[in-house]
Amino acid sequence: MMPYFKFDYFGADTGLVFAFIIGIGFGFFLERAGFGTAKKLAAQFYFKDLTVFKVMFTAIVTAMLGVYFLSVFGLMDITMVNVIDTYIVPQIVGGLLLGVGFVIGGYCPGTSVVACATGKIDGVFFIGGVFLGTFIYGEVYPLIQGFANSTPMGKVLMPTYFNIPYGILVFAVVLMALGGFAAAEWAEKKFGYKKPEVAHED
Amino acid sequence: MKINLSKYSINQKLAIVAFVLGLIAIFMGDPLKARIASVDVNELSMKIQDKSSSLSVEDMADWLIQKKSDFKLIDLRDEKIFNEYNIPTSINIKIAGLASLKLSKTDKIILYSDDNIASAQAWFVLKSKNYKSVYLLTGGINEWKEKVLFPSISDNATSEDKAKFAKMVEVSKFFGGTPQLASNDSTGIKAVPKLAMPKMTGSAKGAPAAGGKPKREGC
Repeated sequence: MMPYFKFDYFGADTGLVFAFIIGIGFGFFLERAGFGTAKKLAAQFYFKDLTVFKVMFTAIVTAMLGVYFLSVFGLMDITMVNVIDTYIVPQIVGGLLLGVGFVIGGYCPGTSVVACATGKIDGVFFIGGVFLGTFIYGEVYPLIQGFANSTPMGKVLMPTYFNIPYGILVFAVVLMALGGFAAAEWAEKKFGYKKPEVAHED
Repeated sequence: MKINLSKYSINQKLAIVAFVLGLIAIFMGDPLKARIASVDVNELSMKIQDKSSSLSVEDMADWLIQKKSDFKLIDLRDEKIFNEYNIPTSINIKIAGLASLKLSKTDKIILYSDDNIASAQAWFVLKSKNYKSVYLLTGGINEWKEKVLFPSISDNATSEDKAKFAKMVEVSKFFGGTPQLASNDSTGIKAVPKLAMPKMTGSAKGAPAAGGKPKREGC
């Protein structure tokens, strides 16, 4: 019965070994998808190269279908998958902050580690910024604690929140993804680099 | 390299697979509301037989005196009698409420009711919902009263029994009970006194019921 860790098939120590292996795989595929370069990541915000969007949505749809079907076939207990609590206003503000940082720096926290691993200087500085920012957040937390804990909604899942059947939501997300892929291909053709002229970009 | 025999690219094929799976999902139901559970019958029957899933009232008393808080104690009786008396730190949940119980599947859960019957039924419900460590309090509240709150000893007890009884007297006082000291009553049968909610001499009541070390999770 999945998730294996929650059902105590192995302890925290063995869990770290698995985390290490999965982490290497995760980093490998991020790098292979081109997430290790800030140019590629930033290009999506100008609709020039939507690889990041396409890879992310492919991952989302694959994981969603996997979790859904494993659960309905009784191989996995979906209630044991960790879902962090929703604090809607602070999370919108935090999301906007992260987005701004993403556009400016060209990385999200995970991809900055990938960039760092391949020796990119901006990636190294980005990680330094992540640590500094985390430290500052920790220091000022007492001042913004009230805001950070405001508008708590508990664990919110879309099917229960919108009160629509789970399967229909799964289908809707798949449709959204497929529509997104089509739109992304179209945008890349319209705004993207013209393939033979890529060299002119720099 | 000519891999695709059809006119579709690999991306288009994957998109079709995702679409079909999404379409199937509409008719597959809701995994959050899964009421069908599968149980490992062998494991369950072994556990019932070797009694490894039950806990004696004496051990329960020890845990409470030591202020252990790595377990959740669930009282399955009616709310009315629960309010009259319950074992300290317990929470009142009826069997029907167990299906929607919001506890971690790895929490240590101890069940009790008046006797063994309701708690054994509840134990089975929770085990089939994949809760890992569920125990039932042997003898339930009746045995708790008899052995912990109002322990008694007969006149012809051995010295070993007497030593045991001396310990239980302390335990009983901790939980606000009254030990039934040996009397001259030749019948040796003592009625369990009418029980009122005792005042706790210790402070096990209200101890935090949080589980032990939480598992690390999230990103």
